[in-house]
Amino acid sequence: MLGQNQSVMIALALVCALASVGCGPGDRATPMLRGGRLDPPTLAADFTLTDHNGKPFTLSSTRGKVTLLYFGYTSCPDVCPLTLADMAGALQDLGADAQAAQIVFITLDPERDSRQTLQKYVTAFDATNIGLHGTSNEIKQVADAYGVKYKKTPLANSALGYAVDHSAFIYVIDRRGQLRELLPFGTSRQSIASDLKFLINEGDSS
Amino acid sequence: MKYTLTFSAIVAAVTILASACGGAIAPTLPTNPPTQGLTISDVWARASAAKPDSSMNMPASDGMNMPKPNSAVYMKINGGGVADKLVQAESAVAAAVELHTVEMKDGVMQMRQVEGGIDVPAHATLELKPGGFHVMLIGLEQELKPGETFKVKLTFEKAGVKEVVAEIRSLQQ
Repeated sequence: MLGQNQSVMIALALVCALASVGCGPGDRATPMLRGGRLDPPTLAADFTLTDHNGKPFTLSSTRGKVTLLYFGYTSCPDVCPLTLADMAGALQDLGADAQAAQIVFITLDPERDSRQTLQKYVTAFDATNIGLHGTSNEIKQVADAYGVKYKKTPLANSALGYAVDHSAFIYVIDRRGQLRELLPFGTSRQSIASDLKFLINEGDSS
Repeated sequence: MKYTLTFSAIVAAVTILASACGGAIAPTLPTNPPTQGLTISDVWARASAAKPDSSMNMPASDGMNMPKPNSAVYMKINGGGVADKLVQAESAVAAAVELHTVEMKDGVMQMRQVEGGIDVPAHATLELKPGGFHVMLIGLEQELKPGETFKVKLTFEKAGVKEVVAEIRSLQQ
């Protein structure tokens, strides 16, 4: 798990992510990566959860691929599908390079999101997507390691019962397993594809 | 303490940034002449994320217990000569249809049911769009397939009931 130093860096990247995309007309110097960058990159906290096929999944098993890590819940009708759609769309735009990218979705609502629900949900966006679940404690440990804030909030008059308020960043992990940047909600499919392309090609020299 | 930048300081910074950036769902340019009534355009919904997958060895009982998926409907509401309010939405495709919004607070997305309806300003376009106001479809009774359409009944405080047709767009759009 991350030490405090890394948590602070994630929080800083979060601020940058919000600033760059939220505010920006920007004559920013054209960085190769568009989000809130972690500079220097840090090794992404490793963890093991259960994938949508019921098998153990360890993050470091995606080494060699650029990983887009996202935390959400399947009852979420708006922000989560939009983000998954943009990530899946970016993969489509990459063509053959998409084989070197992996989308991983971790549920923040383990009570409602069964393995089957996750399976149907994540693979509807892209057949290669991986959905992860675990016990509430397991999920919390991973979320904490990435500075993800989330909270179950009852909706008094809604058929939904409760919503899960959550941070909506995409965590971008390079082929060597290093956390490189945080992309804020609303990052375009084109920007995601561009960053993926950069990180996939960068990996060739290492 | 080695790390002087505390989390609360960061949250404060994020909050300042977020407020400096302004809301994303502010009404935009006028589109209707003063005498015209309210109109609705660009009505669409995201396809349901429930692709059947026969490669999974899914016991029938699991399938039966699965909660029905949700989706959302978006649109542009072009305000007429007077301010109005969208108070209710109905559709046969879902068990429940509600008005919801999403707000960003301290970098956290919060979805909430809208109490009392969504204001539609006069002479301005209110856009229901991803990351903001939306008509939430809870517990889809049928699969929403890209390219197909379904009906949504909207009730406004002044303009009354308007029936619109939502176009279903693919998940990747």
